[in-house]
Amino acid sequence: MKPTADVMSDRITQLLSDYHKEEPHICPARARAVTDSDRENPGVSAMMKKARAFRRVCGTLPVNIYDHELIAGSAGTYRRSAGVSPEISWKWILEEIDGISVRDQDPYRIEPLDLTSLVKDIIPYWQGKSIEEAFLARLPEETARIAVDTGIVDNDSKWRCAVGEITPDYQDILFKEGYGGIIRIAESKLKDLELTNPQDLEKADFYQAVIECGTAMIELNQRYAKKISEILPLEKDRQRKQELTTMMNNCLRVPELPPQNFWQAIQMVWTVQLGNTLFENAVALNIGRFDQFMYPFYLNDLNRGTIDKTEAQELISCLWIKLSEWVWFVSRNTASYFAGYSAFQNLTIGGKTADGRDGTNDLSYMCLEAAMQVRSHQPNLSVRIHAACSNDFMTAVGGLVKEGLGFPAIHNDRVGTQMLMGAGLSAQDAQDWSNCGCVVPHSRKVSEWTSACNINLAAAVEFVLNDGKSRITGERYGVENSGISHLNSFDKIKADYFVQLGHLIKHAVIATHTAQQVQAELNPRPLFSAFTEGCLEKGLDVTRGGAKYNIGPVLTGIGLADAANCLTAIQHLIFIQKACDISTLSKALDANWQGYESLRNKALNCPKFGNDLEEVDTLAVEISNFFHQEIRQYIDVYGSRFNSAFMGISNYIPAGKAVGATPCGRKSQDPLTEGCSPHAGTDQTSPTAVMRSTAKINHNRHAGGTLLNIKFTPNAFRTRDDLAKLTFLLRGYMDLDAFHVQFNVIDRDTLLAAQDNPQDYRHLLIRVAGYSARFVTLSREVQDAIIERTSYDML
Amino acid sequence: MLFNIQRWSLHDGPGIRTTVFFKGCPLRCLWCSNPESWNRNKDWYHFKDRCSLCGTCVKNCTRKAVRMDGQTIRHNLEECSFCGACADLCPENALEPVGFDMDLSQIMQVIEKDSIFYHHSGGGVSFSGGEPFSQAGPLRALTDMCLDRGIHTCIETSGYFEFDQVSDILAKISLIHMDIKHTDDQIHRKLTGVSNGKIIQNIIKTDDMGKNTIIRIPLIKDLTDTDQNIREIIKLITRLRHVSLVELLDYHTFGISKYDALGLGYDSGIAFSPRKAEIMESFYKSGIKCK
Repeated sequence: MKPTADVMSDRITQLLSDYHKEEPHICPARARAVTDSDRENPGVSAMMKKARAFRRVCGTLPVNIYDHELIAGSAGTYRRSAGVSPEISWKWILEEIDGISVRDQDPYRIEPLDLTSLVKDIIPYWQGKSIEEAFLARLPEETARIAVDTGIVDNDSKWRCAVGEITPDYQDILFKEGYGGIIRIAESKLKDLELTNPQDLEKADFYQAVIECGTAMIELNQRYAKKISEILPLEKDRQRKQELTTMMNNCLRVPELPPQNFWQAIQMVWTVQLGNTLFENAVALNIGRFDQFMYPFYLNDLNRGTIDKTEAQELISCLWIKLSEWVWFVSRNTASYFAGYSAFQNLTIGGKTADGRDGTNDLSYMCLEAAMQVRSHQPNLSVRIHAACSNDFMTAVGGLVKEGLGFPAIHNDRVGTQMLMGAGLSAQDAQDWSNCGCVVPHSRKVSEWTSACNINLAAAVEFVLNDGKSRITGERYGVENSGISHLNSFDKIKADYFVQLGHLIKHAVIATHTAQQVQAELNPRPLFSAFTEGCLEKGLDVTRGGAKYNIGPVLTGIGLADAANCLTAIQHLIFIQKACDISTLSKALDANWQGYESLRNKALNCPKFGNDLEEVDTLAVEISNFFHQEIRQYIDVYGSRFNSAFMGISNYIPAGKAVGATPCGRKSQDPLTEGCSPHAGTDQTSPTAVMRSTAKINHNRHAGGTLLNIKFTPNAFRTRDDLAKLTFLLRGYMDLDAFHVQFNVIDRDTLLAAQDNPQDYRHLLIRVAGYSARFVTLSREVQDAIIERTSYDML
Repeated sequence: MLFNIQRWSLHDGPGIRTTVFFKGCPLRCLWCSNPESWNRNKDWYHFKDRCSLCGTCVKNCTRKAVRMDGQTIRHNLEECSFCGACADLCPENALEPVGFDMDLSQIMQVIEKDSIFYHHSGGGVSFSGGEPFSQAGPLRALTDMCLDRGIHTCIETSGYFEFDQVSDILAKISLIHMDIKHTDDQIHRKLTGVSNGKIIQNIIKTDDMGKNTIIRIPLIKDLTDTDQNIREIIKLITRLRHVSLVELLDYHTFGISKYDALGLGYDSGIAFSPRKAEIMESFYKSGIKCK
């Protein structure tokens, strides 16, 4: 049943207006606390250092309650605070801080006093101590040459940032135990340890760290409760007084004890989320299956008459605003891969339950409504679709697509389950999947790196034709193949392509192992281990393999369509049309096609992925299959096999920068393509053709997720009939066994106007790749790349 | 001979459809948005806005079939073998062939690609043109193949065909879209180049067969949107028993650039009709469903 609470409350309007007035602001409060704690705890284990630092953060962070709020807690001194993690990486901060408020992609404001404190006091302490330095010191030389800031192999989000990529287990742990219960479990485990046993000594350290973290979480909300008790007497408005009293009582209850009602449960979700961001300023700290774990509270309150739909809707929308407020602090390079301040907090709705029922409920609809009301870039709203989904739900999903916010990400329920079963989950756990970050099938029962390393698939084509060398830098990142003269058949070229790709995969694996070892040794995660099944039982942190499931790290291929288009163009130009020989082609690429315009035209006219053409689509499938099989050979530090993915982020732009002109007709340094999408502007047949091409990839074996973006003009969904056709299109796409699709509904003129007058288009949300961001916050390049994407009208 | 197969057609019948465009049409409607459909044979587009008049195409034609005529490139279609060299060598991509032959089985392969989407949306294939009935043989075969595969079929016809030669095809097609442009024969000849006698007869005969038909009327200012014409069309439709809907088609200018690219002139007196709402009202008043 569709809820009726479609009218946005004044409170949400007011909160949104306040939100839009705030700029992302660097806040050193977290960094200061972590630094002070580290100074005062010399010699303690990395595990305990992390826990004590976290407790210091929770105990010293400024606590603010803003007008109209129903949920307490914010991430720092400023309403839109970006916390700093010098313990992970500080070099880029020193290098970039001067221009950081005016940089092209994701700028941050910084106040002069904060700047001084950060640069003069905090950062110098971490010299020689950061994760980045440890990683770079340990990374083998050859791998470092290929994998550090090259755009060829890139895993900087795993050593210049904390790992993120985890989902709290509300259902079985947090809502059952609260942090009070977790602490009691840890205490009782501690009692049973035999400290003459060295392994138990390590476990004791872990349990003590868990207790420290749990205590920190409880203290954080006690501070909010105290803050509210201080402002309460000053409040004149009777209704607001009541609200504040409830908020205070909520903060005294959660997260220490399990929530008793919907409002408390929402407060707990936000507090846990806030704790996670304070613990590690990271990406993809997910919410999980919100409509599932919140439903019992909603139903209970509804039955008792203590809440109505309008109130529940308002609380959900308030949570949406909270999730959008805090800001991920990243380097220019990382921002080019993850553009738009997106923190990738994924919230999943719909889909089958673990026992196989359709889990769609009132809250699923209310989350769609919240996204429509708040129109912000967070959370990353994901929807699971299956054959038994009601038409009502499909229409509601289509209704949100039509709004042009880029949400929701639409996923195939069945394929997500297959992906996780392939990765080793039980049928029941697999079916209970939720998304991580953008489009990764994931589970609260799992510890994994869902975006461990990016691999540039188009660069491998360049190395085939250029003796293993980059046309951009002249450096050799690939395998020396003694020139192109021996490449006298398409089969030889293809074979060499796979050699080059295998070489990049090998170095991606080495870079990932190094990062895993460094993170496990220096950056344990007792806060997250507390809500991950298996860790408390075993006395083992998630970074040391404590989770019920350890899924292997995901290596993401970037530019799948480009690689397939390139190989197809080589085959056509050289071996079928005989339009040129291979050395002429290589010269044309060196010249960035200048003086070779006619050849470039022929290259552009070669078959392109995304038009449902067997020849080029088959090559894409072959490349993706090879990528998967090659990657699955490798085993990570926890004994799990690596996984493959073709997903998004905005990584196709920096990856494109690293590659010269390519045989498909692309010019030097132009963007590649994201996930399993066609290259921008080359899909000229129909959205059904794009979907069929994309669905030929064996999605279910790429457990790290796959992605397709399609752009429609608003005109495409004028009538109810058009909207119905969108839902049929979705159902057809899912029948073809594809995993994900997401739509931009925006017309070109609007985008061009937004480029010219960003002030007037501050609210314009656009899908980048796997996530949505405010269009005006994207760099000109990313904006241009989006405008370039083919859009479909209803013909 | 076809000139396009368009997947994801959403306004040529129910659901998500694939439209097969047959090349060749006996009519020459002044407002036609697909002038490339007129000629039954292959043709060339020359896009002037892209062309730099470099003459590469002229120089490289082995049959001397390409010439430069002021600002335009023209092909002598009697000499041209459609080898494609001129288009391939063109550095600006300014030349494009129009029209292609395809085996029926190949056409069927394309149609079948979107089966899953037809299934979910209640869609299928639409035969359009040009005038699809002018290629009755291939049309009949495709219709049969669709019947065998359970694919829903629609046809969009000008109504200008030999009824007895194609009535078997009509009988098999699920939904007919037929045009009425004008009820006055003299005006019809002026607007389309042919008499409306055969068209009106075919509409009546098709109705007698009991075929579900949608009548389409292109609304052109002062030409087809006149009171007189609409009144007569309503009179005609009132006599029919199987017309499920009248669709009023707005005039649009998307096709104009194609006239230029084909070297054809365009009548600039054609304009959008502002009368759609009141005409729709007249149909409703006569008990005819209209959109």
